[in-house]
Amino acid sequence: MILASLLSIRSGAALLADPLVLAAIALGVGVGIVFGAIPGFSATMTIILLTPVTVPFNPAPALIFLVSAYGGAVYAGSIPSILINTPGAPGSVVTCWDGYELTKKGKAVYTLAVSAIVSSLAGICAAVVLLFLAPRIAEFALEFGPSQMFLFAVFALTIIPAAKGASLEKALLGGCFGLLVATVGNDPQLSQPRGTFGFTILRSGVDFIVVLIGLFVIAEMFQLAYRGVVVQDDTEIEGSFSQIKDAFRAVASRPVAFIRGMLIGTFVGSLPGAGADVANFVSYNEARRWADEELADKFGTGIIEGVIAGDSSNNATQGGALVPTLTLGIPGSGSTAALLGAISIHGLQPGPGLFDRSAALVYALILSLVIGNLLILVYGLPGAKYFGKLAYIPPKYIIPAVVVLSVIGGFAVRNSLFDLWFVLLFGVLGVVFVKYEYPLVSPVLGVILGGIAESGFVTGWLLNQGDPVEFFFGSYISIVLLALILLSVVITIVRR
Amino acid sequence: MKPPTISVRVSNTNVRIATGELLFPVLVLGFCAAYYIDTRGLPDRSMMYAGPLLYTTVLLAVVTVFKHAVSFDRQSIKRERGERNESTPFIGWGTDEETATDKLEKKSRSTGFGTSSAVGLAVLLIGYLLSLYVVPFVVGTAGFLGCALYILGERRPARILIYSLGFTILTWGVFVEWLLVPLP
Repeated sequence: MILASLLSIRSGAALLADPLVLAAIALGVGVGIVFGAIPGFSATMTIILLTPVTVPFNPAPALIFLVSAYGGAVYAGSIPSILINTPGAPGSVVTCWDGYELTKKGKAVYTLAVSAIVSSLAGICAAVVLLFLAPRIAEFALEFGPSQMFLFAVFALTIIPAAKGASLEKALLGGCFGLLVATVGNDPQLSQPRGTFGFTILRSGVDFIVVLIGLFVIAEMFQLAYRGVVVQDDTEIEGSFSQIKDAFRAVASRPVAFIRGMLIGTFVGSLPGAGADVANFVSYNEARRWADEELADKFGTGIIEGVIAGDSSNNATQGGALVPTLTLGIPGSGSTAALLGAISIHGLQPGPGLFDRSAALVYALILSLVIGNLLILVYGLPGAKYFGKLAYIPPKYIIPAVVVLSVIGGFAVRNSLFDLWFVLLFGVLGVVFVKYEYPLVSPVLGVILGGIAESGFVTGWLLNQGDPVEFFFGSYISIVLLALILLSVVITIVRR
Repeated sequence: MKPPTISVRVSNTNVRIATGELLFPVLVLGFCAAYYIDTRGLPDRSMMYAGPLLYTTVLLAVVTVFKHAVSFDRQSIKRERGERNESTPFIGWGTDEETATDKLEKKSRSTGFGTSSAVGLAVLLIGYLLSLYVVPFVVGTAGFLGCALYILGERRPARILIYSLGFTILTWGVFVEWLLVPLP
């Protein structure tokens, strides 16, 4: 088994030797950093907008380009956080708290360098964890029967409020709405049109990519058109090579802070529905909790421990979030939901069995994370202050262009203008979701999990001849999953 | 802009309804009603999973309404009666105190952004999608980009022209000529 894994890793590495693939990594990281450095451009939005560009290419360079852009965008969210106190993405909010204070003290280059170093190292460490952990989970996932897949889908929905601190009923309502939307189309048992309201095109269902574009891109553009924050260019960035040397020393002298953030990011990222936005808050709080009293009081006033806590966790979520995405077909975050869409567009079926069917490509994806995160260091150390200038692009030029790219992306799913109305509808819904604190990822996960949940429920129910005891308690995996569902509900109730 | 909170006095209880919180649950209930009507003639096996899911969704929507959109307050009525000694039915209409969102709206209005630009963008997007049924992508897109830029505060005609034509040609070139991706 270990030999087979090593052979697969070797075949994955061989794919990376292709100059086109290497160019895809270099370009992907660069484009990801450019997109991620613009406030309001999350990693999710970056992947969604870049996916149509990859359609004509082979799966290997296309998906590796997107994974690299994902890593670049997650890292770059911290650049405007540090330079102008405006997070580039939700996963970089806590970086503002100490990062900007350090910039005000004239340590912008030092802070940007620390951010690049910890982001890069955390991304590499998480990729190594993924390399060895994911195949084991994938093997274990093959033991999941239909009823276990149904229960895992339910678990993925119930853990969202526990992980994000959202209202239980709001998260579940969003999730169930997504599951219900996923039932629209010909039913898998008898091929009867179900919930299609007479529209022939709806017989093939609602694609989750249009839901994703609406909720994560169009909704954000409506909100940007509402807030329209214009950033004034008044930050002077001065620095020298000695500050970069100091940054390496700062990280090397705080290994515990870095390792703790990286482990938190990897773990939180692997939870369905929880991404960098959750990880960096948890990591920051833990760093403060573990610090001695004197240091704990200094968090938020401009200490490098705060930046290390935030940035080591958010980049480590990449590897963690890819674990359930690749092994179970259940995304760990909004960004990996977008990647899941791209993987489907390129004709691959994520979930149990992917490691058997497309081992070389999967290992190439994981290994590309290592190279991509090394490139973050190459681009980030000398270039971060220049990427920071992107934050000053006025939103009036960004919004119309992004809307047009979203329209192209929505149309590309199945070349249908009808889908674009769903993009608009879910864009409006996304605004309501943000305003009234519904987790955005709930309906997306609902639509993605709809197929898995329905086939799991129906097949499991029929196999168990309608016996609920056998369906819910028939195996130790089912019992563990039920316990996890119960635990996430209890955690949500207790936390609120 | 904040949706109003309606206060309805029923007997001894002041019922407060946050209309904004009603938006999503009511939309879901509407969708569920339409879905039920559309699927009621289907065989049981087709609805084996969708049926229980439909009822669960309705239940969650109702719970969300009662937990987040509707609140009952007996104490305030007793206090008001004690102070004003009145018992006639009463219906109030208004919003809560100014929030951080309201302050942000005021700030964004001063920079040309706000509710009007967001709503304008939504209306423009509807127009753009409709236009794609009748005019070629290049024409609809250039028109949308120009109008959107104007709505978002750009008033210099040369910039509007360069931006809308430039970006349209760029997307056409990249997607159609280079990547061979079909556009609307």
